[in-house]
Amino acid sequence: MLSPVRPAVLLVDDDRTLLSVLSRRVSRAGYDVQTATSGPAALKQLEASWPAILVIDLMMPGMDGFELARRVKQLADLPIIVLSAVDASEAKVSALELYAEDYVTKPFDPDELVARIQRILRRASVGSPQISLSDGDVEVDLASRRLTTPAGSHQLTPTEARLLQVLASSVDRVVPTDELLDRVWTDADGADPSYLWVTVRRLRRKLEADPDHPRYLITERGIGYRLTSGSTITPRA
Amino acid sequence: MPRTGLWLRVFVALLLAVLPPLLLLVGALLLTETILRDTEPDLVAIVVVAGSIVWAAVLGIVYARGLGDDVRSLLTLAERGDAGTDPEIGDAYRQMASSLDERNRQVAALAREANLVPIDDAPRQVVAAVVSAVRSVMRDETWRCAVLASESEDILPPGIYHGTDESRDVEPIGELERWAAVSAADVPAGRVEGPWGAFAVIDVAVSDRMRAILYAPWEGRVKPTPAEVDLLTLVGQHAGTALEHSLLYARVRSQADELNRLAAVQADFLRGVTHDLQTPLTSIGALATELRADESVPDRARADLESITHQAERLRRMVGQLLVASRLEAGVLTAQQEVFAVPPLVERTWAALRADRPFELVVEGAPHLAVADPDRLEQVLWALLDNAVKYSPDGSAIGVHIEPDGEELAITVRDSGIGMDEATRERAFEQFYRSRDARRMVPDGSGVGLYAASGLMAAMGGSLGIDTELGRGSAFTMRVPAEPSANGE
Repeated sequence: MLSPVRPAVLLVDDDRTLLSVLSRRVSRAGYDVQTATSGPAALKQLEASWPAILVIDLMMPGMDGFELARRVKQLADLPIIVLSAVDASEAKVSALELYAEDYVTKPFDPDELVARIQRILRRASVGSPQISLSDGDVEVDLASRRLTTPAGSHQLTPTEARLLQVLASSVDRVVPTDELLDRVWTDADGADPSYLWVTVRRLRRKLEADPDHPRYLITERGIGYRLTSGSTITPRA
Repeated sequence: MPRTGLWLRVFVALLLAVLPPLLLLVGALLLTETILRDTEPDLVAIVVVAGSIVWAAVLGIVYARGLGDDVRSLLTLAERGDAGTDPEIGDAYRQMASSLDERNRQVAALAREANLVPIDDAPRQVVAAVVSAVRSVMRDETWRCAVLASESEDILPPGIYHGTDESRDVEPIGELERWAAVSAADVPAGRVEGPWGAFAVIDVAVSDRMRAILYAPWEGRVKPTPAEVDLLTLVGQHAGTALEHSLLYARVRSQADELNRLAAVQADFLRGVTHDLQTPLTSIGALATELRADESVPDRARADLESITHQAERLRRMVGQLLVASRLEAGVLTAQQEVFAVPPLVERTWAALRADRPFELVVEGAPHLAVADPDRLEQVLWALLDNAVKYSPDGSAIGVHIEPDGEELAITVRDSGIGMDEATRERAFEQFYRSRDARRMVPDGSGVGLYAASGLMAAMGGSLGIDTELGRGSAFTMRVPAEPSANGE
């Protein structure tokens, strides 16, 4: 019997100690780990094979993580996590949202990185960067986390965007509460159903014309939630 | 003479001319009827006519003179209106008016140029602008400015300056300029004459340590009138004011630039150091965790690894606080908005502190979830709990109380420590501020914790408040946006 294929993770960091520590931890979590200590080295490895996900350090001499992420996305739409010594408030990281699925601010717990890798890979198969409901009345750009309705435009939180993405991958079908909790939050978040209730309530305020009588984000009592397309859904690549 | 007077006189003249012959005629007729009844009527008529003629002749002679004067004066007036006044006087008037016009133009130009001379530019440009202004006011392109001594030679070196439209470098001061300056030392403006010829010189009054003159060749030109000297003096005063302002501005700007540079260096240093610490800290923490998980590691080493992990964690927290402080300084701190439960976060943070203290967490009211940045709130909680432990006696209890308050959760961290007096409470959230009691009790504190905590709460749309009493302890209350967590469906 063949053993299941381990998803490949390409770690790119100029700090060899950190690379070694992370390799061991990610490998223990069941991934096939490849490493590179520079942007050009990582691009060279991509010529041979594509990993399931890349973890890229932002600050590297020569080609920095920003440039590497940009070039990777030109080659293929591979999910990217950026390791950064700066945090989300920095303008450069905001710009990185165009290329990276997630970022982790140093110093971090390697377990946290593993949790994020798992979460992104779980979502990767469902992902389409745009959601369109009701023939374009409602548009969601998941890359910039922007939701546009006839009433106006709203910024979604990362959690709200993940929730919409998971629901949109099964449009017009019910997604059970447990599955939503599992796919939208990490184990480290310690989420319970109340997280989902409050997040749905807040999302409806942005999505629905009348949040008390939702048209798109429907509760299936005792089971979970369903995203209706309004009329049709058109996922666009 | 007034015109009405003239006509009155003409009327009176006519009356006098006509009335006496009529009276003579009437008188003659009456006399003929009464006394001169026997006299020949022709004779009476002749006498009347002759008398009238004589009367008319007398009147004619007398009035011809008076009316002639009037007519002559009228003609003179007409001539004046037509041809102006006397040619000589007219010329004098014209010269005076032209001179006044020129003076008015100069004063207006001076006012205009004085407004145009920039004060916020480099002093070199200001001197050039002053020269251009003087040239424009005096309509004379030979004016220059010699800066003989400068209190700030780096921003305004001594030398000869030309106008703004001339792309000429500053030339070195020569004997001519030194002589002109010495010759004109006693007066604000005037004409001097010597081995180099005649010059008009204006003293530019700036300060005791700075000396400058404006000067132009004046050979073959009339000595400036007192009015011109006054104008030149005014020019010198304006030039001095412009230069003084410009130097002051340049000094203030240079000081501000230096302060900004130092602040930027400090901020860069802080960020650089913290960034450089972040990667090794990740490795240290991760390596220690891995080793602890290794069953072959002996127990004694495991205890040391525990300490390494704990200290690395403390260091990570402190680096985090410094990063927050530097972001607050740069005004780039933002926070995520996630939904999360606060009590588990409090418990995790307290556990991470590993403080050997009695601890009580009380949650009251309807269950709520905070809508904030969990990592940021954890940073604030850690800073407050760490402070509570540091500034209260060993063995004393620390308590956290969570309760909804409107659309917020109020999270209060309470200790029974040293507390704060009013002055300390007011400055508690200032960066690097530490009270004397705080320094005595915890000598190695950074003074960044509460500053960062307060900034983080504000970035999350919340707030941080203190209720404290000296010697009785402190209660810090964080308020964060929250929502009821009950399922409303």
